[in-house]
Amino acid sequence: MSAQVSSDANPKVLVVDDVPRNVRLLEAVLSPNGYTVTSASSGSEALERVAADLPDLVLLDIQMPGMDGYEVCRRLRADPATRFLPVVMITSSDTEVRVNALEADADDFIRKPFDQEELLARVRSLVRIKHYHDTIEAQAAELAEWNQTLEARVDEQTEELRASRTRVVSAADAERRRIERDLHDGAQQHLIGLAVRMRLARDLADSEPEKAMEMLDALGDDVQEALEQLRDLAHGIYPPLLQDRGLPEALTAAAGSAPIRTRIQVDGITRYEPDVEATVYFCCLEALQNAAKHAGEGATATVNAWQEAEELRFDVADDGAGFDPERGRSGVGLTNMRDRVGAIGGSLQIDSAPGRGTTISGSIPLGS
Amino acid sequence: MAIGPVRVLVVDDQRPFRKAARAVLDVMPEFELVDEADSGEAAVSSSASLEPDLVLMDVHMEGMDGLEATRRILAARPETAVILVSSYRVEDVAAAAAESGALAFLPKDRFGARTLREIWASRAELLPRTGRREPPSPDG
Ligand SMILES: Nc1ncnc2c1ncn2[C@@H]1O[C@H](COP(=O)(O)OP(=O)(O)OP(=O)(O)O)[C@@H](O)[C@H]1O
Ligand SMILES: [Mg+2]
Repeated sequence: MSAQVSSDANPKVLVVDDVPRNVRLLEAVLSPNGYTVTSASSGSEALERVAADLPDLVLLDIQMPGMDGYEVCRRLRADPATRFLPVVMITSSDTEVRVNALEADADDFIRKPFDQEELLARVRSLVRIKHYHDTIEAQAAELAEWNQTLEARVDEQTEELRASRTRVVSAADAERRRIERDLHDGAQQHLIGLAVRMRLARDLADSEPEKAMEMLDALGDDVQEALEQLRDLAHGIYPPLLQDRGLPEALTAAAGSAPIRTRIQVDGITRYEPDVEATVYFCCLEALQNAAKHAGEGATATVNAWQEAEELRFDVADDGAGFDPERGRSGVGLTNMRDRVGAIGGSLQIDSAPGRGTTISGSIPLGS
Repeated sequence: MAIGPVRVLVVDDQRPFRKAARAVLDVMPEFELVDEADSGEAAVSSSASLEPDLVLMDVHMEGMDGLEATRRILAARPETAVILVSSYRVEDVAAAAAESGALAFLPKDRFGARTLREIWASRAELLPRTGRREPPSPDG
Protein backbone atom coordinates (compact mmCIF):
# COMPACT_ATOMS: atom_id res chain seq x y z
CA MET A 1 0.00 0.00 0.00
CA SER A 2 1.39 3.41 -0.83
CA ALA A 3 0.87 6.05 1.82
CA GLN A 4 -1.56 8.85 1.19
CA VAL A 5 -0.28 12.34 1.58
CA SER A 6 -3.16 14.70 2.19
CA SER A 7 -2.21 17.21 -0.41
CA ASP A 8 -5.14 19.53 -0.02
CA ALA A 9 -4.69 22.32 2.47
CA ASN A 10 -7.61 21.26 4.66
CA PRO A 11 -6.70 18.41 7.02
CA LYS A 12 -9.55 15.96 7.65
CA VAL A 13 -10.65 15.30 11.18
CA LEU A 14 -13.06 12.53 12.10
CA VAL A 15 -15.10 13.29 15.24
CA VAL A 16 -16.53 10.22 16.96
CA ASP A 17 -19.19 10.78 19.61
CA ASP A 18 -22.61 9.29 20.25
CA VAL A 19 -23.88 12.65 21.51
CA PRO A 20 -24.71 14.91 18.53
CA ARG A 21 -24.30 18.03 20.62
CA ASN A 22 -20.68 17.13 21.37
CA VAL A 23 -20.02 16.56 17.66
CA ARG A 24 -21.47 19.97 16.79
CA LEU A 25 -19.38 21.58 19.50
CA LEU A 26 -16.12 20.19 18.16
CA GLU A 27 -17.12 20.98 14.61
CA ALA A 28 -17.78 24.58 15.62
CA VAL A 29 -14.21 24.88 16.87
CA LEU A 30 -12.42 22.96 14.07
CA SER A 31 -14.21 24.08 10.89
CA PRO A 32 -13.45 27.80 11.21
CA ASN A 33 -9.80 26.85 11.76
CA GLY A 34 -9.40 25.17 8.41
CA TYR A 35 -10.27 21.54 9.18
CA THR A 36 -12.71 19.42 7.21
CA VAL A 37 -14.80 17.62 9.78
CA THR A 38 -16.65 14.35 9.32
CA SER A 39 -18.37 12.48 12.11
CA ALA A 40 -19.43 9.06 13.35
CA SER A 41 -21.86 8.30 16.19
CA SER A 42 -20.59 4.84 17.14
CA GLY A 43 -17.42 2.78 17.30
CA SER A 44 -18.26 0.62 14.32
CA GLU A 45 -19.29 3.58 12.21
CA ALA A 46 -15.98 5.22 13.16
CA LEU A 47 -14.04 2.28 11.69
CA GLU A 48 -16.09 2.49 8.49
CA ARG A 49 -15.50 6.23 8.17
CA VAL A 50 -11.77 5.84 8.74
CA ALA A 51 -11.57 3.28 5.95
CA ALA A 52 -13.68 5.42 3.61
CA ASP A 53 -12.47 8.97 4.35
CA LEU A 54 -8.82 8.41 5.31
CA PRO A 55 -8.88 11.20 7.90
CA ASP A 56 -5.69 12.84 9.16
CA LEU A 57 -6.78 12.65 12.77
CA VAL A 58 -9.49 11.06 14.89
CA LEU A 59 -11.11 12.71 17.90
CA LEU A 60 -12.53 9.80 19.82
CA ASP A 61 -15.05 9.82 22.66
CA ILE A 62 -14.44 7.05 25.17
CA GLN A 63 -17.87 6.28 26.48
CA MET A 64 -20.11 5.06 23.74
CA PRO A 65 -22.69 2.28 23.68
CA GLY A 66 -21.50 -0.83 21.87
CA MET A 67 -17.86 -0.59 20.87
CA ASP A 68 -16.27 2.00 23.12
CA GLY A 69 -13.40 4.36 22.31
CA TYR A 70 -10.67 2.06 23.73
CA GLU A 71 -11.72 -0.72 21.43
CA VAL A 72 -11.86 1.54 18.39
CA CYS A 73 -8.36 2.77 19.18
CA ARG A 74 -7.02 -0.74 19.66
CA ARG A 75 -8.44 -1.83 16.33
CA LEU A 76 -6.98 1.18 14.53
CA ARG A 77 -3.57 0.30 15.98
CA ALA A 78 -3.91 -3.31 14.93
CA ASP A 79 -4.52 -2.40 11.30
CA PRO A 80 -1.24 -1.62 9.48
CA ALA A 81 -3.08 0.91 7.32
CA THR A 82 -4.05 2.99 10.35
CA ARG A 83 -1.31 2.12 12.80
CA PHE A 84 0.07 5.65 12.66
CA LEU A 85 -3.20 7.52 12.37
CA PRO A 86 -3.23 10.13 15.21
CA VAL A 87 -5.97 9.41 17.73
CA VAL A 88 -6.96 11.90 20.41
CA MET A 89 -9.23 10.59 23.12
CA ILE A 90 -11.82 12.77 24.76
CA THR A 91 -11.86 11.78 28.42
CA SER A 92 -13.67 12.73 31.58
CA SER A 93 -11.35 14.11 34.16
CA ASP A 94 -10.46 11.06 36.22
CA THR A 95 -7.01 9.59 35.97
CA GLU A 96 -8.07 5.97 35.56
CA VAL A 97 -9.59 6.83 32.22
CA ARG A 98 -6.39 8.55 31.16
CA VAL A 99 -4.33 5.53 31.97
CA ASN A 100 -6.66 3.36 29.92
CA ALA A 101 -6.47 5.82 27.06
CA LEU A 102 -2.67 5.59 27.04
CA GLU A 103 -2.81 1.82 27.27
CA ALA A 104 -5.06 1.74 24.22
CA ASP A 105 -2.16 3.57 22.56
CA ALA A 106 -3.90 6.85 21.87
CA ASP A 107 -1.56 9.67 20.86
CA ASP A 108 -3.09 12.18 23.21
CA PHE A 109 -6.13 12.94 25.28
CA ILE A 110 -8.26 15.93 25.96
CA ARG A 111 -10.25 16.48 29.06
CA LYS A 112 -13.91 17.47 28.93
CA PRO A 113 -14.89 20.22 29.11
CA PHE A 114 -12.03 21.16 26.77
CA ASP A 115 -10.13 24.32 26.33
CA GLN A 116 -10.42 25.53 22.70
CA GLU A 117 -6.84 26.74 22.33
CA GLU A 118 -5.45 23.58 23.86
CA LEU A 119 -7.56 21.43 21.55
CA LEU A 120 -6.45 23.35 18.46
CA ALA A 121 -2.78 23.25 19.49
CA ARG A 122 -2.79 19.46 19.95
CA VAL A 123 -4.74 18.80 16.78
CA ARG A 124 -2.39 21.07 14.82
CA SER A 125 0.77 19.39 16.03
CA LEU A 126 -0.56 15.85 15.56
CA VAL A 127 -1.75 16.65 12.04
CA ARG A 128 1.67 18.04 11.25
CA ILE A 129 3.33 14.88 12.54
CA LYS A 130 0.91 12.82 10.50
CA HIS A 131 1.84 14.84 7.46
CA TYR A 132 5.58 14.24 7.97
CA HIS A 133 4.91 10.62 8.51
CA ASP A 134 2.91 10.37 5.28
CA THR A 135 5.63 12.19 3.36
CA ILE A 136 8.31 9.90 4.67
CA GLU A 137 6.24 6.85 3.91
CA ALA A 138 5.59 8.07 0.39
CA GLN A 139 9.30 8.67 -0.10
CA ALA A 140 10.12 5.27 1.29
CA ALA A 141 7.70 3.71 -1.15
CA GLU A 142 9.25 5.70 -3.98
CA LEU A 143 12.72 4.63 -2.88
CA ALA A 144 11.66 1.02 -2.78
CA GLU A 145 10.32 1.37 -6.30
CA TRP A 146 13.53 3.01 -7.50
CA ASN A 147 15.51 0.37 -5.83
CA GLN A 148 13.56 -2.27 -7.67
CA THR A 149 14.05 -0.52 -11.00
CA LEU A 150 17.74 -0.15 -10.29
CA GLU A 151 18.06 -3.78 -9.31
CA ALA A 152 16.30 -4.81 -12.49
CA ARG A 153 18.62 -2.58 -14.51
CA VAL A 154 21.70 -3.93 -12.79
CA ASP A 155 20.48 -7.45 -13.49
CA GLU A 156 19.96 -6.56 -17.12
CA GLN A 157 23.42 -5.07 -17.46
CA THR A 158 25.04 -7.95 -15.64
CA GLU A 159 23.32 -10.30 -18.05
CA GLU A 160 24.42 -8.23 -21.07
CA LEU A 161 27.95 -8.07 -19.68
CA ARG A 162 28.00 -11.81 -19.18
CA ALA A 163 26.72 -12.36 -22.71
CA SER A 164 29.25 -9.98 -24.23
CA ARG A 165 32.06 -11.52 -22.21
CA THR A 166 31.02 -14.93 -23.50
CA ARG A 167 31.04 -13.53 -27.03
CA VAL A 168 34.47 -11.95 -26.51
CA VAL A 169 35.84 -15.24 -25.21
CA SER A 170 34.36 -17.28 -28.03
CA ALA A 171 35.54 -14.70 -30.56
CA ALA A 172 39.02 -15.07 -29.09
CA ASP A 173 38.69 -18.84 -29.32
CA ALA A 174 37.57 -18.62 -32.92
CA GLU A 175 40.50 -16.34 -33.66
CA ARG A 176 42.90 -18.80 -32.04
CA ARG A 177 41.41 -21.63 -34.07
CA ARG A 178 41.83 -19.59 -37.23
CA ILE A 179 45.47 -18.87 -36.36
CA GLU A 180 46.08 -22.52 -35.53
CA ARG A 181 44.59 -23.56 -38.86
CA ASP A 182 46.51 -20.91 -40.77
CA LEU A 183 49.74 -21.99 -39.15
CA HIS A 184 48.99 -25.65 -39.62
CA ASP A 185 47.85 -25.42 -43.22
CA GLY A 186 50.38 -22.81 -44.21
CA ALA A 187 53.87 -22.40 -42.93
CA GLN A 188 53.90 -25.64 -40.93
CA GLN A 189 53.20 -27.73 -44.02
CA HIS A 190 56.02 -26.02 -45.88
CA LEU A 191 58.40 -26.60 -43.01
CA ILE A 192 57.42 -30.26 -42.87
CA GLY A 193 58.05 -30.61 -46.58
CA LEU A 194 61.39 -28.88 -46.11
CA ALA A 195 62.36 -31.18 -43.25
CA VAL A 196 61.59 -34.30 -45.26
CA ARG A 197 63.41 -33.12 -48.34
CA MET A 198 66.40 -31.88 -46.38
CA ARG A 199 66.77 -35.30 -44.82
CA LEU A 200 66.55 -36.80 -48.27
CA ALA A 201 69.27 -34.49 -49.56
CA ARG A 202 71.48 -35.42 -46.63
CA ASP A 203 70.86 -39.13 -47.27
CA LEU A 204 71.94 -38.62 -50.85
CA ALA A 205 74.92 -36.41 -50.04
CA ASP A 206 77.40 -39.33 -50.11
CA SER A 207 76.08 -41.44 -52.92
CA GLU A 208 74.76 -38.75 -55.25
CA PRO A 209 76.19 -35.35 -54.19
CA GLU A 210 75.07 -33.60 -57.34
CA LYS A 211 71.49 -34.63 -56.94
CA ALA A 212 71.65 -33.61 -53.27
CA MET A 213 72.85 -30.13 -54.23
CA GLU A 214 70.10 -29.79 -56.78
CA MET A 215 67.57 -30.69 -54.13
CA LEU A 216 68.91 -28.19 -51.65
CA ASP A 217 68.69 -25.46 -54.30
CA ALA A 218 65.04 -26.28 -54.90
CA LEU A 219 64.34 -25.95 -51.19
CA GLY A 220 65.04 -22.22 -51.37
CA ASP A 221 61.72 -21.52 -53.06
CA ASP A 222 59.82 -23.37 -50.37
CA VAL A 223 61.63 -21.53 -47.61
CA GLN A 224 60.60 -18.29 -49.30
CA GLU A 225 56.99 -19.41 -49.51
CA ALA A 226 56.92 -20.47 -45.86
CA LEU A 227 58.37 -17.12 -44.83
CA GLU A 228 55.81 -15.27 -46.90
CA GLN A 229 52.98 -17.13 -45.24
CA LEU A 230 54.36 -16.54 -41.77
CA ARG A 231 54.68 -12.87 -42.57
CA ASP A 232 51.06 -12.63 -43.77
CA LEU A 233 49.84 -14.48 -40.75
CA ALA A 234 51.79 -12.30 -38.33
CA HIS A 235 50.45 -9.25 -40.12
CA GLY A 236 46.88 -10.51 -39.68
CA ILE A 237 47.44 -11.10 -35.96
CA TYR A 238 48.92 -7.69 -35.27
CA PRO A 239 49.93 -5.42 -38.12
CA PRO A 240 53.59 -4.45 -37.64
CA LEU A 241 52.86 -0.93 -38.86
CA LEU A 242 50.30 -0.48 -36.08
CA GLN A 243 52.79 -1.66 -33.52
CA ASP A 244 55.69 0.43 -34.85
CA ARG A 245 54.04 3.62 -36.05
CA GLY A 246 50.58 3.69 -34.49
CA LEU A 247 47.12 4.38 -35.83
CA PRO A 248 47.71 7.22 -38.31
CA GLU A 249 50.06 5.22 -40.51
CA ALA A 250 48.40 1.85 -40.00
CA LEU A 251 44.95 3.25 -40.87
CA THR A 252 46.33 5.14 -43.86
CA ALA A 253 47.92 1.95 -45.15
CA ALA A 254 44.71 -0.01 -44.52
CA ALA A 255 42.66 2.62 -46.36
CA GLY A 256 45.11 2.55 -49.25
CA SER A 257 44.76 -1.20 -49.71
CA ALA A 258 41.02 -1.36 -48.93
CA PRO A 259 38.83 -2.93 -51.63
CA ILE A 260 36.77 0.29 -51.77
CA ARG A 261 37.91 3.82 -52.66
CA THR A 262 38.63 5.44 -49.32
CA ARG A 263 39.54 8.93 -48.16
CA ILE A 264 41.20 9.19 -44.79
CA GLN A 265 41.56 11.99 -42.25
CA VAL A 266 43.57 11.10 -39.15
CA ASP A 267 45.26 14.38 -38.17
CA GLY A 268 45.69 15.07 -34.52
CA ILE A 269 45.83 11.52 -33.27
CA THR A 270 48.98 10.09 -31.79
CA ARG A 271 49.90 6.94 -29.90
CA TYR A 272 47.60 5.21 -27.41
CA GLU A 273 47.48 2.12 -25.26
CA PRO A 274 47.87 -1.01 -27.42
CA ASP A 275 44.33 -2.21 -26.70
CA VAL A 276 42.91 1.16 -27.76
CA GLU A 277 44.95 1.19 -30.96
CA ALA A 278 44.07 -2.41 -31.77
CA THR A 279 40.36 -1.81 -31.15
CA VAL A 280 40.15 1.28 -33.34
CA TYR A 281 42.23 -0.35 -36.06
CA PHE A 282 40.17 -3.54 -36.23
CA CYS A 283 36.86 -1.65 -36.04
CA CYS A 284 37.86 0.60 -38.93
CA LEU A 285 39.09 -2.40 -40.88
CA GLU A 286 35.88 -4.36 -40.31
CA ALA A 287 33.74 -1.32 -41.15
CA LEU A 288 35.72 -0.82 -44.37
CA GLN A 289 35.31 -4.49 -45.22
CA ASN A 290 31.57 -4.13 -44.63
CA ALA A 291 31.46 -1.06 -46.84
CA ALA A 292 33.30 -2.94 -49.57
CA LYS A 293 31.06 -5.99 -49.18
CA HIS A 294 27.65 -4.42 -48.61
CA ALA A 295 27.65 -0.78 -49.80
CA GLY A 296 27.40 -1.75 -53.44
CA GLU A 297 28.91 -0.79 -56.79
CA GLY A 298 30.63 2.60 -57.00
CA ALA A 299 30.34 3.47 -53.33
CA THR A 300 33.20 5.33 -51.66
CA ALA A 301 34.21 5.45 -48.03
CA THR A 302 35.81 7.84 -45.57
CA VAL A 303 37.72 7.07 -42.41
CA ASN A 304 38.11 9.74 -39.74
CA ALA A 305 39.86 9.52 -36.43
CA TRP A 306 40.37 12.41 -34.07
CA GLN A 307 40.77 13.26 -30.44
CA GLU A 308 38.11 15.23 -28.62
CA ALA A 309 38.22 16.10 -24.95
CA GLU A 310 39.31 12.90 -23.24
CA GLU A 311 38.07 10.66 -26.02
CA LEU A 312 39.49 9.05 -29.11
CA ARG A 313 36.79 9.09 -31.76
CA PHE A 314 36.51 7.50 -35.16
CA ASP A 315 33.97 7.05 -37.86
CA VAL A 316 33.83 5.07 -41.05
CA ALA A 317 31.21 6.27 -43.50
CA ASP A 318 30.13 5.21 -46.95
CA ASP A 319 27.65 6.62 -49.47
CA GLY A 320 26.36 3.21 -50.50
CA ALA A 321 23.24 1.09 -50.13
CA GLY A 322 22.80 1.45 -46.36
CA PHE A 323 20.63 -0.88 -44.29
CA ASP A 324 18.13 -0.84 -41.47
CA PRO A 325 20.13 -1.45 -38.28
CA GLU A 326 16.94 -2.34 -36.40
CA ARG A 327 15.99 -5.08 -38.77
CA GLY A 328 19.08 -6.53 -40.34
CA ARG A 329 20.55 -9.38 -38.39
CA SER A 330 23.78 -8.33 -36.82
CA GLY A 331 26.57 -10.54 -38.12
CA VAL A 332 29.82 -11.43 -36.47
CA GLY A 333 31.42 -8.22 -37.71
CA LEU A 334 29.17 -5.65 -36.03
CA THR A 335 28.85 -7.72 -32.86
CA ASN A 336 32.63 -8.01 -32.61
CA MET A 337 33.03 -4.26 -33.08
CA ARG A 338 30.51 -3.59 -30.30
CA ASP A 339 32.12 -6.08 -27.96
CA ARG A 340 35.64 -4.87 -28.60
CA VAL A 341 34.71 -1.23 -28.08
CA GLY A 342 32.59 -2.12 -25.05
CA ALA A 343 35.43 -4.13 -23.53
CA ILE A 344 37.54 -0.96 -23.18
CA GLY A 345 34.68 1.19 -21.95
CA GLY A 346 33.76 2.90 -25.22
CA SER A 347 30.60 3.00 -27.26
CA LEU A 348 29.73 2.29 -30.87
CA GLN A 349 26.96 3.79 -32.95
CA ILE A 350 25.51 2.56 -36.20
CA ASP A 351 23.80 5.15 -38.32
CA SER A 352 22.29 3.82 -41.50
CA ALA A 353 19.12 3.58 -43.53
CA PRO A 354 18.35 1.96 -46.88
CA GLY A 355 19.60 4.25 -49.65
CA ARG A 356 21.30 6.65 -47.25
CA GLY A 357 24.73 5.15 -46.73
CA THR A 358 26.22 3.93 -43.48
CA THR A 359 28.22 5.58 -40.75
CA ILE A 360 29.80 3.58 -37.98
CA SER A 361 31.16 5.79 -35.25
CA GLY A 362 32.87 4.98 -32.01
CA SER A 363 34.32 6.82 -29.06
CA ILE A 364 36.80 5.49 -26.58
CA PRO A 365 37.60 7.12 -23.25
CA LEU A 366 41.29 7.88 -22.79
CA GLY A 367 41.30 7.99 -18.99
CA SER A 368 44.68 7.66 -17.29
CA MET B 1 50.97 -60.66 -56.67
CA ALA B 2 53.42 -59.45 -59.31
CA ILE B 3 57.07 -59.16 -58.35
CA GLY B 4 58.28 -55.55 -58.42
CA PRO B 5 58.47 -52.41 -56.36
CA VAL B 6 56.01 -51.73 -53.55
CA ARG B 7 53.21 -49.65 -55.06
CA VAL B 8 52.47 -46.58 -52.97
CA LEU B 9 49.50 -44.18 -52.78
CA VAL B 10 50.16 -40.84 -51.07
CA VAL B 11 47.14 -39.10 -49.52
CA ASP B 12 47.25 -35.53 -48.21
CA ASP B 13 45.12 -32.45 -48.81
CA GLN B 14 48.25 -30.33 -48.45
CA ARG B 15 50.59 -30.11 -51.40
CA PRO B 16 53.97 -29.69 -49.60
CA PHE B 17 53.98 -33.16 -48.03
CA ARG B 18 52.85 -34.85 -51.24
CA LYS B 19 55.71 -33.13 -53.01
CA ALA B 20 58.21 -34.21 -50.34
CA ALA B 21 56.93 -37.79 -50.29
CA ARG B 22 57.25 -37.93 -54.07
CA ALA B 23 60.86 -36.77 -53.84
CA VAL B 24 61.66 -39.46 -51.27
CA LEU B 25 59.95 -42.25 -53.23
CA ASP B 26 61.72 -41.08 -56.39
CA VAL B 27 65.09 -42.04 -55.00
CA MET B 28 63.92 -45.40 -53.62
CA PRO B 29 63.90 -48.01 -56.41
CA GLU B 30 62.11 -50.58 -54.24
CA PHE B 31 59.07 -48.24 -53.93
CA GLU B 32 56.94 -46.79 -56.66
CA LEU B 33 54.50 -43.90 -56.38
CA VAL B 34 51.34 -44.94 -58.22
CA ASP B 35 49.04 -42.05 -57.32
CA GLU B 36 48.47 -39.01 -55.15
CA ALA B 37 45.10 -38.22 -53.60
CA ASP B 38 44.09 -34.93 -51.97
CA SER B 39 41.09 -36.19 -49.98
CA GLY B 40 39.79 -39.21 -48.12
CA GLU B 41 37.20 -39.82 -50.80
CA ALA B 42 39.78 -39.70 -53.60
CA ALA B 43 41.99 -42.07 -51.60
CA VAL B 44 39.23 -44.68 -51.28
CA SER B 45 38.45 -44.66 -54.97
CA SER B 46 42.10 -44.58 -56.02
CA SER B 47 42.82 -47.50 -53.73
CA ALA B 48 39.93 -49.45 -55.22
CA SER B 49 41.10 -48.96 -58.81
CA LEU B 50 44.89 -49.09 -58.40
CA GLU B 51 45.14 -51.58 -55.50
CA PRO B 52 48.32 -50.09 -53.96
CA ASP B 53 50.40 -52.16 -51.53
CA LEU B 54 51.03 -49.22 -49.25
CA VAL B 55 49.08 -46.06 -48.48
CA LEU B 56 50.67 -43.03 -46.79
CA MET B 57 47.60 -41.46 -45.27
CA ASP B 58 47.27 -37.97 -43.76
CA VAL B 59 45.05 -38.00 -40.67
CA HIS B 60 43.42 -34.54 -40.76
CA MET B 61 41.60 -33.68 -43.93
CA GLU B 62 38.45 -31.75 -44.74
CA GLY B 63 35.49 -34.02 -45.45
CA MET B 64 36.36 -37.69 -44.98
CA ASP B 65 39.40 -37.78 -42.73
CA GLY B 66 42.31 -40.19 -42.91
CA LEU B 67 41.01 -42.54 -40.23
CA GLU B 68 37.70 -43.07 -41.98
CA ALA B 69 39.43 -43.47 -45.35
CA THR B 70 41.77 -46.06 -43.76
CA ARG B 71 38.84 -48.05 -42.38
CA ARG B 72 37.15 -48.10 -45.78
CA ILE B 73 40.28 -49.05 -47.67
CA LEU B 74 41.03 -51.89 -45.25
CA ALA B 75 37.43 -53.07 -45.32
CA ALA B 76 37.67 -53.41 -49.10
CA ARG B 77 41.25 -54.71 -49.26
CA PRO B 78 42.53 -55.93 -45.87
CA GLU B 79 45.95 -56.74 -47.31
CA THR B 80 46.70 -53.05 -47.89
CA ALA B 81 49.32 -51.56 -45.56
CA VAL B 82 48.44 -48.09 -44.31
CA ILE B 83 50.86 -45.74 -42.58
CA LEU B 84 49.18 -42.75 -40.96
CA VAL B 85 51.12 -39.52 -41.23
CA SER B 86 50.30 -36.28 -39.51
CA SER B 87 51.76 -32.91 -38.76
CA TYR B 88 50.30 -33.25 -35.27
CA ARG B 89 52.19 -35.13 -32.60
CA VAL B 90 50.96 -38.60 -31.83
CA GLU B 91 49.44 -37.45 -28.52
CA ASP B 92 47.37 -34.86 -30.36
CA VAL B 93 45.89 -37.42 -32.71
CA ALA B 94 42.78 -39.17 -31.51
CA ALA B 95 43.08 -42.59 -29.92
CA ALA B 96 40.94 -43.68 -32.84
CA ALA B 97 44.15 -43.74 -34.88
CA ALA B 98 45.20 -46.87 -33.02
CA GLU B 99 41.93 -48.59 -33.88
CA SER B 100 41.86 -47.67 -37.53
CA GLY B 101 43.85 -50.77 -38.50
CA ALA B 102 46.84 -48.76 -39.70
CA LEU B 103 50.29 -50.30 -39.53
CA ALA B 104 52.01 -47.32 -37.95
CA PHE B 105 51.72 -43.67 -37.08
CA LEU B 106 54.45 -41.33 -38.26
CA PRO B 107 54.88 -37.59 -37.68
CA LYS B 108 55.25 -36.09 -41.15
CA ASP B 109 58.55 -34.40 -40.44
CA ARG B 110 60.11 -37.76 -39.52
CA PHE B 111 59.17 -39.28 -42.84
CA GLY B 112 62.19 -40.35 -44.88
CA ALA B 113 63.72 -43.19 -46.86
CA ARG B 114 65.22 -44.94 -43.86
CA THR B 115 62.09 -44.76 -41.72
CA LEU B 116 59.96 -46.04 -44.58
CA ARG B 117 62.31 -48.95 -45.18
CA GLU B 118 62.33 -49.81 -41.47
CA ILE B 119 58.58 -49.78 -41.13
CA TRP B 120 58.19 -51.84 -44.26
CA ALA B 121 60.75 -54.39 -43.11
CA SER B 122 59.06 -54.88 -39.77
CA ARG B 123 55.50 -54.73 -41.05
CA ALA B 124 54.83 -58.33 -39.97
CA GLU B 125 55.40 -57.43 -36.29
CA LEU B 126 53.57 -54.17 -36.68
CA LEU B 127 50.41 -55.74 -38.07
CA PRO B 128 47.48 -55.17 -35.76
CA ARG B 129 46.18 -58.27 -33.99
CA THR B 130 42.99 -58.13 -35.98
CA GLY B 131 43.93 -61.11 -38.14
CA ARG B 132 44.67 -59.15 -41.27
CA ARG B 133 46.59 -60.89 -43.93
CA GLU B 134 50.21 -60.00 -44.25
CA PRO B 135 50.85 -57.49 -47.02
CA PRO B 136 53.04 -58.66 -49.88
CA SER B 137 56.78 -58.23 -49.66
CA PRO B 138 58.55 -56.29 -52.40
CA ASP B 139 60.50 -59.34 -53.47
CA GLY B 140 57.62 -61.73 -53.80
N1 LIG C 1 28.47 -0.44 -44.86
C1 LIG C 1 27.34 -1.18 -44.99
N2 LIG C 1 26.47 -0.96 -46.01
C2 LIG C 1 25.36 -1.72 -46.15
N3 LIG C 1 25.00 -2.70 -45.32
C3 LIG C 1 25.82 -2.98 -44.28
C4 LIG C 1 27.02 -2.23 -44.05
N4 LIG C 1 27.60 -2.69 -42.92
C5 LIG C 1 26.81 -3.70 -42.49
N5 LIG C 1 25.73 -3.88 -43.28
C6 LIG C 1 24.64 -4.85 -43.08
O1 LIG C 1 24.67 -5.33 -41.75
C7 LIG C 1 24.83 -6.73 -41.72
C8 LIG C 1 25.69 -7.14 -40.56
O2 LIG C 1 27.05 -6.77 -40.75
P1 LIG C 1 28.19 -7.63 -40.06
O3 LIG C 1 29.51 -7.03 -40.33
O4 LIG C 1 27.82 -7.77 -38.64
O5 LIG C 1 28.05 -9.04 -40.74
P2 LIG C 1 28.50 -9.48 -42.22
O6 LIG C 1 29.37 -8.45 -42.83
O7 LIG C 1 27.28 -9.89 -42.97
O8 LIG C 1 29.33 -10.79 -41.94
P3 LIG C 1 30.73 -10.89 -41.16
O9 LIG C 1 30.39 -11.67 -39.95
O10 LIG C 1 31.64 -11.59 -42.08
O11 LIG C 1 31.19 -9.50 -40.84
C9 LIG C 1 25.42 -7.07 -43.09
O12 LIG C 1 25.08 -8.37 -43.48
C10 LIG C 1 24.78 -6.04 -44.00
O13 LIG C 1 23.50 -6.44 -44.37
MG1 LIG D 1 31.09 -7.73 -41.74
